[in-house]
Amino acid sequence: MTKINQYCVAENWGKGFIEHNESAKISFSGLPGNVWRVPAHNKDANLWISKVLGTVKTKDEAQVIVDAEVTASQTAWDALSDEEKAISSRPVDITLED
Amino acid sequence: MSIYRGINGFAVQNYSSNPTLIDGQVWYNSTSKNLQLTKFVTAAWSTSGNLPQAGLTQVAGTGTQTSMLSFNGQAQPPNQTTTNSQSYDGSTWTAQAQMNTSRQQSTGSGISNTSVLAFSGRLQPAAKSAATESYNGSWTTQPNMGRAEYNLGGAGTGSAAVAFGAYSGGTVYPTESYNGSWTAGNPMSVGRNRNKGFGSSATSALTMGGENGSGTNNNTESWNGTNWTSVGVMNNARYAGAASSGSAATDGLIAGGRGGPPALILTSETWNGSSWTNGPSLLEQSALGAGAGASGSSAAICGGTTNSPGNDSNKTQNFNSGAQVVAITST
Repeated sequence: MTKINQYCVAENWGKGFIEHNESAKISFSGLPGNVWRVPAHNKDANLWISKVLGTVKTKDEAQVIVDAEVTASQTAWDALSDEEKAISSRPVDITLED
Repeated sequence: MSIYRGINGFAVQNYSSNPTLIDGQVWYNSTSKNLQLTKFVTAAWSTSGNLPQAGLTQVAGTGTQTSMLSFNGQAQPPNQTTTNSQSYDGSTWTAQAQMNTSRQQSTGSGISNTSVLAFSGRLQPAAKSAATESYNGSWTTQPNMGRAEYNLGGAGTGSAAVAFGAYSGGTVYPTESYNGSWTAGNPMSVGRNRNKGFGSSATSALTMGGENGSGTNNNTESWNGTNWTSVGVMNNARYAGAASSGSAATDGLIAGGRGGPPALILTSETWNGSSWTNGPSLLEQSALGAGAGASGSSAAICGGTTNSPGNDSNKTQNFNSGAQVVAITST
């Protein structure tokens, strides 16, 4: 099966991390754990990963990072008071795609 | 060297405010003292300057992408309500005066970061707030709302506002209008909480989305100063998104929030006065963040809840599409 997405870990430093012209060319999706999903086999995506000094991860490696963040977030939510739970929502699992 | 007159047949015009935008047009803005041009850009989100706080959610905001004020919220650390306010110029946040009431999930109205009204909210320990305060460089306490509430929708200016939302046990609570004091008016047609809104006057506003305990809705209603009228549905049911709060009721944007199941959603939608159109997705998750914007083609959102533990967002995302004014500088 052809891979559609690729993943990397990079910390969003703010302005300039994703420029308007980069976002107009390719789709970005920020995930828990500073994991970013961008198109695979794409020159613009590869240039952006290089720009932000991203560490490329396989889908399975990225999934482990995301799962750890979401599980910790769910644990933190479960420990909230009923009152706090009433005004928030339990974080949901995220399944990454190839 | 090419001369503008030689290319276009006329000299660079001098305007005190920006003219109707035409692609490629160059003019001098005598107010901002900038040489400017119109550039058409593809609709897209980009990252921008981070908030001063390590993380901030359940935060309010209003204004435009280049003149936004965000305030109150739950700051991190130490996960307490805050009196902080900060202004945004399109790229950088600057801390402003402390507010009088510490709260989260408050609401604001205003079309710039120099004249803002803040109202309602959730206090700590938990209680609903009716407190109102105005901002013009410093915060001044104003008369309380008729009813304490939090997570309301809001629209209008810093001196004339409308607050809407709040539903409980089958009761849809009154809309309230402010012009120095609050007056109760007709409620929305659809009862809901955590709905959002935009509108640059107290007599012309739009509200969208929300939830009522049994489901998330996508309904949109228009306010004419007296009554609410259903005018369409969003493509994505959502609550707790961020809207272009400083835009006209006929031209705005909403993004992020939570969807039907309470999962964070990334989609954005723009409203043209009669229907919603899907736009590009946010770059990162944000629910209960603050939004601002002059229109559906220029907006910013900041802060919000993410799926990371103890890691509410301090990020800002700018949205731009269509005709944009660009200042020509020598650097």
